[in-house]
Amino acid sequence: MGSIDTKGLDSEKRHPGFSALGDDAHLAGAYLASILEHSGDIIFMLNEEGTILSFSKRGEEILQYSEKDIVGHPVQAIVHDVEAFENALSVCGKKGRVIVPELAFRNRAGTPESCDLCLIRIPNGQKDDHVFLGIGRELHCEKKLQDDLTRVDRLAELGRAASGIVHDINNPVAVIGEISGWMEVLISDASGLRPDEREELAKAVRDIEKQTRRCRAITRQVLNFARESASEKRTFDLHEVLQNTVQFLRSEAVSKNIEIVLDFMESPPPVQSDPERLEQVFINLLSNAVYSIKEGRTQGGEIRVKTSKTDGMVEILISDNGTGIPEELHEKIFELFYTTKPSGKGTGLGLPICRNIIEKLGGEISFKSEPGVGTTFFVRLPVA
Amino acid sequence: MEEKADIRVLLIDDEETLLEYLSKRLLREGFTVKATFSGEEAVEVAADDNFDVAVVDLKMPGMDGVETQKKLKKIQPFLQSIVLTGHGAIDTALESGRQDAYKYLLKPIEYDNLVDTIKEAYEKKVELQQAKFREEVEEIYRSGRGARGIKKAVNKLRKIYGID
Ligand SMILES: Nc1ncnc2c1ncn2[C@@H]1O[C@H](COP(=O)(O)OP(=O)(O)OP(=O)(O)O)[C@@H](O)[C@H]1O
Ligand SMILES: [Mg+2]
Repeated sequence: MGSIDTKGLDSEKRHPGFSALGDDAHLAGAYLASILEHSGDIIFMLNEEGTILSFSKRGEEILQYSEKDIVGHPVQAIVHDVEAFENALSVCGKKGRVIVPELAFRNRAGTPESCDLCLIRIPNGQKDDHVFLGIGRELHCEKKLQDDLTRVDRLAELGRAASGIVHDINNPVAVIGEISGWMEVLISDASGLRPDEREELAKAVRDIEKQTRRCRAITRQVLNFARESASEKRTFDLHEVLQNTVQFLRSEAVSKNIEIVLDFMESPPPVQSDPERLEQVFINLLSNAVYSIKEGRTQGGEIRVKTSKTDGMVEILISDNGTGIPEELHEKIFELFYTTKPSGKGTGLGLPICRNIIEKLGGEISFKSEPGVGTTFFVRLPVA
Repeated sequence: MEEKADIRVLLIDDEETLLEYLSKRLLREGFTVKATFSGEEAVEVAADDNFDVAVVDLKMPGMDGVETQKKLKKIQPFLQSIVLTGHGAIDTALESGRQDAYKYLLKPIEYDNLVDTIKEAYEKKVELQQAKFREEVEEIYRSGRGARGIKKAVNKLRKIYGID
């Protein structure tokens, strides 16, 4: 935006590109119209008093007003930071141009939409007044992405700092689990207990076990976060990593009547990536699949792991015929701490970790899902 | 068909309290159990006593699980080892798998799963042992010794392999 001529567009100092239009008013009009129609920015024109005269297509989309609804209204109607905007207008009136980083407009719903704003005063030749041209570039996506990344990084940082402690906590938690197992035995062997006492004690011990399980789920995920930061790329055989991971979960799958089918492409291209982190991703995706099948059906559970090559990338598909994910949750499942599992079963860190890892490795992760039918996760990785 | 009393289990983990309770449970289950708190100690114990199955933690100060397991195998070739590994250490675990550990189990251990795995490992041990025994018996017969010589040699083998 810095390249805009600060002096405004009086006829002597036109942008060189403009001269190509010559004096063809029709062409100039068409040119302008297409800019307003297709530019990705909010482009608008105000009169001297700040009344809206014109409004670009993208402006309509972002702020959710149609041009005809908004033309004729004071610009304050679509601005969130009113004071900052009014200041900018008055500076622009004097200096001819002003740039305001991160100024918030307000959409029809009242939600602020952050933009980098550039205001330019355009003298109105015939009359002795001027109009203002405004160009707002949406910040929303970039900023949101940035926020997400900082949040994830902060968590990774937290994870790293905590991992030492977490390791140390894991051991006593395992010991507590073992002791409660032993107590369970003692209680069932003990003589001289009334049945209700026995039941009460047994329940208490089961509760201890449940809670230790919960601790483990948490510590496991914190460790995942901690490890994920230290990515190390090398060339390796993707199928081997997949096979190892599947092998690792196979006994769990078998015990739940789930078949894991491998459908590997022939002669896979070598990938340059981090096998340990990928193993983490596949374990997460596969355990989600196992869980969802366990929830969704008692028979005929199947997980398919398929590899193929598309657009110079290697694609790994992990499909299950479990519960599927309802449409309205599609946005949510990659959010930190979002989980539909009962407390103690899920932390909601699995998928955000997966996404973080895959994106750091220059790949993509996405999914398709139909409730009642199943879910497919797609992981794409760059080939070496 | 409970024959667990015959299964001799060697436990190796530096977490002493954990082993204390784990061995109590396994003993009550009917296994014969010996708890050791380091790879070095386990190797010493294995020099004197025979075991069927070893349950060894991968991460220990001093001699780690993989190494311990290799050494044990040298002393008692039929001994089957179950290696316990932390989350994310699959690579190391597979490495130990290639060193013929019977199986690697993810920590924290599920008790029932561990018990089942110990029994399977025991069966594998017996199977291997008997196969080897038969092989050597056949060898003896082929060696063309007299009936008495054969009987003597086979008896000796029975003793070595603990088979009657
Ligand atoms: N294959 C799948 N089928 C159906 N639902 C899924 C599937 N994978 C993920 N989900 C949904 O997405 C949610 C978030 O998954 P994520 O892996 O991030 O956390 P989690 O599995 O709940 O917890 P954790 O990974 O710590 O066990 C799950 O709770 C579940 O509702
Ligand atoms: Mg998960």
